[in-house]
Amino acid sequence: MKEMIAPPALVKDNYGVRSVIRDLLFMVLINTMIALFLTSLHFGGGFGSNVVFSQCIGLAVYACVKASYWFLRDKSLVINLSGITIAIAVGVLIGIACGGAITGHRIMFNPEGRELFLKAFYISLLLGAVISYLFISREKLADARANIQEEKIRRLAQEKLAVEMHLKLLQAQIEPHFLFNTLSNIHGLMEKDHARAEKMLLDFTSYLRKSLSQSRSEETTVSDEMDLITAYLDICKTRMGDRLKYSIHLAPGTGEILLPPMLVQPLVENGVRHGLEQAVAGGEITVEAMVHNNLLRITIADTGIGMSQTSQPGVGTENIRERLRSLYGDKGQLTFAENQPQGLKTMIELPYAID
Amino acid sequence: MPLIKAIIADDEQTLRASLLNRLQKLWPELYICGEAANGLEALELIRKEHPDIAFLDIRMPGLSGLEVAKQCPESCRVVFITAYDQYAVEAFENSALDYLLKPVKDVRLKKMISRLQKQCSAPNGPKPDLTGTVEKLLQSLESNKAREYLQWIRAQTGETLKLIPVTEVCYFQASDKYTVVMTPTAEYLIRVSIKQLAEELDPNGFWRIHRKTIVNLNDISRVGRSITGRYEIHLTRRPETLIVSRSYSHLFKQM
Repeated sequence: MKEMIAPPALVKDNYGVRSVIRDLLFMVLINTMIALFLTSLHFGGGFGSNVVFSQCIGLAVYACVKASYWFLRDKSLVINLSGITIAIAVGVLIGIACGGAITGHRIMFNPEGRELFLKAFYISLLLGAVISYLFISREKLADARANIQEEKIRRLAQEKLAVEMHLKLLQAQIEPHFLFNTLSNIHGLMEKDHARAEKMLLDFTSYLRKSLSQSRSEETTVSDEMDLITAYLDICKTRMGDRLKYSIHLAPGTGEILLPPMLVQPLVENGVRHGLEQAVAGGEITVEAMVHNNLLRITIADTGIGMSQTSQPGVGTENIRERLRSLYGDKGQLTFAENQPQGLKTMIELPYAID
Repeated sequence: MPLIKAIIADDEQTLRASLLNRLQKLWPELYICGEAANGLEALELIRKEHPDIAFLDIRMPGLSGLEVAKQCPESCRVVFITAYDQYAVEAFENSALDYLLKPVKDVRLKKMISRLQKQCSAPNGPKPDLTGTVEKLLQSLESNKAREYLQWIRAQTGETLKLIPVTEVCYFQASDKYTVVMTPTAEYLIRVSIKQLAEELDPNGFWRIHRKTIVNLNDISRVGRSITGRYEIHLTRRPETLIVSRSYSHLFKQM
């Protein structure tokens, strides 16, 4: 038997069995009291028949109003009130008909009982309206409470996300594997190929500088982000030699577009690290920026080993998706597709503003 | 003294050249009979040249250094080379395996060389059982794999083969032999049966609630009951309500 874990906390709702039973007991009590009251006013055919009618009408109205609210709760106030009015009227009629059937006082279809019927009808409507109003207020209150709760949870989640993001930005400033491999390369080149060692050291310093300044600001431009990526890929190219080819394309006008920092570079890093480095023959990575349907679209495509269906999405990519969602809602998208003939294609889309 | 042979395997040419250079300086009697740029080449080289020592980078395309070491004959001593990796370093420190950290300091390399020289001059001495250790190391380093559950759904949309992370899926709905994948903003049809999905998805993240439906637990906002007593699932990111069939109602009884 697989181990089951309970789903997250669930809100108790007013259509549960316990809730309905509680309501019914309450209704029976109220109806009995109404019957007592009416009997004391010498209305109707005695306490016995009044109780029967009262219960039938009360329960029928309860059922109809509850059903009406259930179907219409999300609609406008006018529709809700109309629905409830009709529900009360229908409930009353059903109740009177049932009461009549049980007690034998068929006041509905009996011309002699017409006057009694009308009185009963109006009294029921009035009582029905009052009780329904109380009932609706209770439902609305429960809904409002649930909404406040949801709102609180949503706000907390956003705050948590913002904190996590700042933490990740700090942590992601430099990836240890990249750092130590690069230093090893510089160290290795120093003795025999001084010129290349120097170039790599300068490239690396430039990359670090750009990376740090970017991750500290709230936003960067597309062209600045591409500069950072170029610095990164240059270092990788020195290390991987022929095993890495890369190209970066910026559609005209996209350079000045603003976007959050550290969105694209981690994806390029993933492409190199998990896609190309792992491929025996290496491959190519292309980064493209363009505008499509009023959205900025950046595509990162590598011809590496691609993604296996069981590999867990990295924390980095989940973080990027969450950041896009919290900043842009549905308009911020991070999607993946298989690249042809092999490898991975990653795409970021977001609404843009120009510097 | 018989010639001691070694091979070097690392996907980065610079690092191979650098290590070769330094070994030649610090251990001139060592004969480096070959270099490999990936795990497959390394294994081939070991089988062809029968070296006494193999310097293996851990992270290589093809086969990783650990996987190569698993298939190494006992006559070949393995020295692992690894860049900074907190877990790798810990794992190595706790094992009997020889390793070097990148960038490799001369001091460390000298120590490793004298250790290797001692081991090689006593070929009939007791040899540590490497296979078990390497196996354990492999497992502890790759322990984030856990049980391999489905993490990505492949769905064809037009000319693209999209990869959808399972966290983006609100629920799966069977449709004949295929399945409809429902995300917050779209739906996709895939040629995988709901039964197969149920077997491949992580049971801690996804529950079968109906013969035709699997729901993402993280997308459940609340569970209500219909008038007929059936459990109904309301989702956070989609408007639909999912019905739980009687056979699966027991999953929600504890509420």
